[in-house]
Amino acid sequence: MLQETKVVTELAGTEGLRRLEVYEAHGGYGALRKALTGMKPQEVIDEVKRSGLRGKGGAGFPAGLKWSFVPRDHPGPKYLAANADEGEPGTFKDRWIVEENPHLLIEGSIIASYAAGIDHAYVYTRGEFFTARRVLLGAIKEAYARGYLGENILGSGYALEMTVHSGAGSYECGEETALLTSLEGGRGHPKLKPPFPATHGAWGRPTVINNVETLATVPSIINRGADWYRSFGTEKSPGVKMVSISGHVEKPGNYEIPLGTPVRMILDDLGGGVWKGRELKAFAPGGSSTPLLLPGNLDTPYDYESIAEAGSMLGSGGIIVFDETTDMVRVAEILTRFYAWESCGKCTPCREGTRWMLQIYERILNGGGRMEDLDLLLDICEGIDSKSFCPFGDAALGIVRSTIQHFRAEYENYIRKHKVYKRKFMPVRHH
Amino acid sequence: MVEVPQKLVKITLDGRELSVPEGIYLLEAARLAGIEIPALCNHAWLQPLGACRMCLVRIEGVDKLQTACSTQVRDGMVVITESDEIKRAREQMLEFHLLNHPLECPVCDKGGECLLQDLTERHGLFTSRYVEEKLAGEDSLLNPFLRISYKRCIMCQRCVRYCEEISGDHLAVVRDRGAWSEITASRSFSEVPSRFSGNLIELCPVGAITSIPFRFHGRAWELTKTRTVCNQCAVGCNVELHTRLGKLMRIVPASEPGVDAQLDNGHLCDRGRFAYGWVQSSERLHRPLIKRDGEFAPATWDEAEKLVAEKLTRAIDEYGGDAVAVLAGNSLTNEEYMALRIIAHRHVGTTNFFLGEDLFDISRYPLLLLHSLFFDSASLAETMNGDLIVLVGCDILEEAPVLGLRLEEAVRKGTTLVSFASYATESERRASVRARYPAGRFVDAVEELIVDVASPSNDGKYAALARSLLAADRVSLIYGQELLWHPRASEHVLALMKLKYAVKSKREAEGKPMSHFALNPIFRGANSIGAVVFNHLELLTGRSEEIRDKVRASMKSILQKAAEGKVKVLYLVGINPLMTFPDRKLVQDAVAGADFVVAQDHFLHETSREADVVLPTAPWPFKGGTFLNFEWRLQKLNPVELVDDTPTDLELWNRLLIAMRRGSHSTEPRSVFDEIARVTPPLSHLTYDSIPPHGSVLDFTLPPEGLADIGERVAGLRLEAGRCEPREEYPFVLLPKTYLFRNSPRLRCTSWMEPVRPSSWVQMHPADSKRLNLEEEQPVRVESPHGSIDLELRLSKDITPGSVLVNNYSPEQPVNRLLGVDDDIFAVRVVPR
Repeated sequence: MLQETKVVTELAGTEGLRRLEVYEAHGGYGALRKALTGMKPQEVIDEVKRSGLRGKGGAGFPAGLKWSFVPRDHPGPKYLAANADEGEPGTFKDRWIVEENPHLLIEGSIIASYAAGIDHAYVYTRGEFFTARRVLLGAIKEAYARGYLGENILGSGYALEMTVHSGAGSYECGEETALLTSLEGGRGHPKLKPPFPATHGAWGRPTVINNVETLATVPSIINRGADWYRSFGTEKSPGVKMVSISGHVEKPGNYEIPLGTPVRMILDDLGGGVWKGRELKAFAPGGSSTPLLLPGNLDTPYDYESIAEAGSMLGSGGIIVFDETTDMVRVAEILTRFYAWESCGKCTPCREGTRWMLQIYERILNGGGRMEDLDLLLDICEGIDSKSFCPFGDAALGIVRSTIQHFRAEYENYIRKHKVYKRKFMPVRHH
Repeated sequence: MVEVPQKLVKITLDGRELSVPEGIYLLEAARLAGIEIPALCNHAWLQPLGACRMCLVRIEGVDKLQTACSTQVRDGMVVITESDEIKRAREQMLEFHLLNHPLECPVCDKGGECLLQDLTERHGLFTSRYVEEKLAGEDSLLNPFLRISYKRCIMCQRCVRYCEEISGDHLAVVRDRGAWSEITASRSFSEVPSRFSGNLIELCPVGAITSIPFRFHGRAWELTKTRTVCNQCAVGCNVELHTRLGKLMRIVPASEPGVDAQLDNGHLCDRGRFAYGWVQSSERLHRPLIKRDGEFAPATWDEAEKLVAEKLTRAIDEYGGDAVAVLAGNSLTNEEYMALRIIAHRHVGTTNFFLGEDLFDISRYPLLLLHSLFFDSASLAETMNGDLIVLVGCDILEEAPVLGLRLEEAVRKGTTLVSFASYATESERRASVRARYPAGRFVDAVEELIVDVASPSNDGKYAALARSLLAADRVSLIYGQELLWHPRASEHVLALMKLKYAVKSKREAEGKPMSHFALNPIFRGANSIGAVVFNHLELLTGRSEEIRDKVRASMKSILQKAAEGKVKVLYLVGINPLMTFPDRKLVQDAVAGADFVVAQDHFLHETSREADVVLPTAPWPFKGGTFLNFEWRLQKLNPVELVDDTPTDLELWNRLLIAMRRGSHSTEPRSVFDEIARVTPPLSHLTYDSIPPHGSVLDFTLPPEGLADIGERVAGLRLEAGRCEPREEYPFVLLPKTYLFRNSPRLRCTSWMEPVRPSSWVQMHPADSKRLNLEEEQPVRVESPHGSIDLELRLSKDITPGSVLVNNYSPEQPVNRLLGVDDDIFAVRVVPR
């Protein structure tokens, strides 16, 4: 029976964990003290590099390497943006961290800022994260009062300011350059790269953007060392990962596992298996943007490389489970609506293509589908694939392609029989 | 600074090896090689966006297709722009663009000049697979000139970026998200000054933004296009007049952005673009008017010419040539100025003629002053490539808007901008130093600045400005209407000359002589420089010493003579001094003092209404000739191919000379110009037909004889500080400001300009209004020793306490009622009414 390996979630369930003194009583801010009083910034970077910590927001970029790109001798302020714009359907781990253990994020952010020479750290919270924002503001206030933020932190001479910036409710702002434009007060549109944020980020200054979970992992690595962290996971995907299990399982929720654990164990031992004793139809391994995998993929180890080999992505770690009764055309429609409505509208293929696909899905579900629509959908996917401005466009394609690939018969059933999906209500897009 | 030779890199484009400048984008590199990569969102004015995805190309070693507009060339790059894969990508992108784009080209104004239409022809598929419902929304207005059709918009965001990166007014913004994104006006029209909004029309690659005045007035291919030069300000933007069915239909820029970057680079201001309705206005005069018993009555040309000829002949015969005085406005052509000069000298024999209305009095040190006007200016290219631009008493975005944009472009590319003015302006938004002098105290302030230049390390009042002046090697100082539209304009120019030589000699003393320090005046007229030249042609024809002692008549002296009754016939050509001369009383006296007043004009305006005869001549679109702009760029005007029922000025003068039996004059701008070029050495290399399309910047490299010692002479100048102090009963200094939109006849007679016509108000600092117990929008009276005007109060922190600011062109409440031509300071008081 698989047990959780708790790193980020170590203190989960602790009474009053949001409060600074409780966090401190459980060893909180010990890593910060260790880093600021005993380690040089470069040593922190080296330690994190050695740990193999990879970004946990979706792209999996090595965190220590990212910090090392920030120019040391740059005049003027440098920024950190903690990406708490968690909007991927099926992913809810960052919200848990911010709401339940805000000081862990703050501590990790300070250590990361110290390592990269940051002057000002922003936490960019998703617009709908009302509680998270409130909790975080309170925690930051406490941290300032205790001298973990502000001037001369713990007598080290290092100074850091921290600000919470609330988004206006946009999935796109989780993309790092769109996050920056939004942070600057602009419209949440992605920016051209190069130049990269590490040198030309917020307001043209060097900026590090890290996922909340990534930052929350840092204190443990500092406390227990890179080797300890590396002792989990696989060679190429070391360490642990939070997974958010949702959908048709008995025990949905956030869990933390060593990378490389077979998916079957995660779903059965932690998620309690498919609900109501039903069979599994498919699952999205890393959030709604990742192509669906089938029951035959259940023994795939849950790490970046193996999931990619199986034809999908580990993404943000949100495992969405669909049981045998699920209408996969309807699933595709729901998610396509999400992508059409959340497309920022900057680039043509994503803006036009996602809405076109949504219109086709609506037509199919209303009984007006045509056989050629399946090829047309795949063709639209091809028109968006790798041609959109940011990765968002590609993210919208996984669900369309994989449902057509694996569940073509369900589409054909709709089309041949002019089957109409009985809606309880038709979603209306309000202007 | 030494010009750094551009580094070249080698790239392979579709199998061709090319050397292209380092750092340029692939799209530009392809264009240099003559390869067209289609693109919709990219534009020469704007930073790359990478949104339309039309310009996808294959770069060897990169796994995804890349946008050519946003990819900089790297040495050794191998690029494919034509292949099946790219052809397919372009078809796909065009299909996406056309999804929600209505097929209404037959009724769309942009049809025939639409980039999307062109690209679809070249790269697209002609059938659509889209069977769903298109998005459709109601059209709306961006501002009174621009209509936005939201369904035609392809979200290239060119308009949004222009408003953000170039004009800075943030007029057009995106609202909503995804396919539902739409362009909308950020604020109501009253909150966004319209200066450059018309540029969004050409910028829009489709018909989403269209011109309201032009809407449904003609198809692009039916219009007859005539290239000419805008006559609205000192910039002289190159424009195209589009005519159809005997009417002027629209004015568009003639320059291609990024290609014709010599002057306007394709920008045009809203006044230049939209203020053309007057040409067809019913207010425009087509027949001469003769005043009988105080009422104007239409007359035939024969009658009118006979009457004017007779009055002129009698005045000359009875009182001599000097009994005739000629005043001409500042938007005539060089040929007309030359003709007037010759006619006044040779045929009439008067010395009482003055061209242009910009320098009212140059009696102090005329030679030095003219020397600066003629020889101190820099070309736009020199200014933009220099190290430092200094704006002095000049709200450049109001006075010469497109020049303001070009200067901001230079600033974006690394030139420093500093500003010296008595109040805050939007033009200073990119300035690194903004120094303030007390309103009306410019000369004193320059003296203080010169002290700071001598010892910049002392913490003088203007030390920051002095240090930036001294730090630069190539300086262009641009001064404007706050200094020039003033009775003491010449003193202001002398002060600037003194500043220039102080900076130069300080730099020389430090062993770092400057490469150049230019002084560029921004006058009000389209050909003010031409007026200066033909008033003082001696400077160019090598007889400069004549000027030293003999000051030719000035506008002030002529008006004074007329007021004294010494002028029998006052002949006004395209001039409205009751509005534009800073002493209304003197003009009224002059008009009353002359026996007979002739006004040659297109309208009945404040001054022509007072004339005895009004002779309407052909306005600007119907004229040929040349203009000299602020940088001494000689540019050629071309008349539209329409027949107007009025004679040109040259034709009218010839007819008058014949009626007077005093010879004749050429009516052809071509022959007049060639004659000018023959007698004027700096023009001798040119003929009318050889003037290049973008004009030619006249370059006077030879110093005029006898002025080698100008530096010493200027250094020894004693400037006259203001003689009169503001008196207690008139505690405010009045700032009459020149705005882009003034209530001139041309604006009044263009119906769609109504929303931009300024109202009459006076700006005051809140500290002063509080002290005087005055409130925003309160009706007040502004009084001076000369008179009073009634205005509405506006509060503004842009001006300094102790000064009040008014629009200097407001016919209902003319500011020159408050002014006297001998005033040092315009002292006024503000009282409630």
